[in-house]
Amino acid sequence: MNQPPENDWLNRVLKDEPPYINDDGFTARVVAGLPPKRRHWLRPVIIGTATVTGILLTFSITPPVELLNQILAWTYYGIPLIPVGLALAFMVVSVKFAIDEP
Amino acid sequence: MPNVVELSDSDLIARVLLDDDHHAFGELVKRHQSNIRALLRKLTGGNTVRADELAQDTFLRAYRQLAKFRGDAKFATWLYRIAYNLFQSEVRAAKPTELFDEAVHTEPQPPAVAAIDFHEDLTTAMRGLNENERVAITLCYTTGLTQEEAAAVLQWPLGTVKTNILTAKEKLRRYLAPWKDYSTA
Repeated sequence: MNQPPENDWLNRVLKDEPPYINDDGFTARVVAGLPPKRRHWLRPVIIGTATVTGILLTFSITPPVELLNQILAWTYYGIPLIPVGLALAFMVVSVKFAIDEP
Repeated sequence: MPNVVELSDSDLIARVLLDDDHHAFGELVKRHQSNIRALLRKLTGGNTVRADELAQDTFLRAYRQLAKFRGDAKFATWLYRIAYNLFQSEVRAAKPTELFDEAVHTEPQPPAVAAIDFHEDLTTAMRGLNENERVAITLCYTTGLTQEEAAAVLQWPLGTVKTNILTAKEKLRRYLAPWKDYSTA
């Protein structure tokens, strides 16, 4: 048997409904103590800015035509494009992760 | 869009998780604060200041760990578990006198029949219980959990909950015997 019999006076006394405790500002104190709201837009903005800055820096150091020639040369001489592919894949995954993160 | 007061606990939790909605979390606190504070007041032997501090910590921890709430138990039960864990940590860290007064852990002497306030005697009698007995009786009677739910909150075997309730009730029955006639009147 799980529950004690109801005719026991002690059970009745113990089961007396405890008085409702008025909030009296308790909820406001808890909410005030919560960490600041997460800013969903901040993370993608940081990663996006970093990515664009990285691309701009790359092009500023190596002009686009020269970079393209270099990639073609790598292809021509049999150097695989794996590092470039990996970099692109990493960038896509990073952006997706940044957007999906709650 | 419905007002937060019309939403179920699960809907409010979803809002907190998806949008970090502090307003929704505030509604959850408003709904459960009385029960959690009442439980902690009992556990701390009526130390309302300490109980409210622990209650505040309970809700803050619940907020931080909300993503871990799987919904297989009631939200209230999950909160009770957090509250009990915090209370336990505090008991382990503190000297008993910091949480309770000196009457703790001493077998109370039966009151005179003419004692003025029954609830005062009940509080004193509860202080006379050891911690496990007090926790078990509080969860099963004050909060209205079933013994199975209390066992889940405490992570004790069901038999341990039952044993502690039996011994606690025996002590309380002995101490509060003079009040029996009043309570049945």
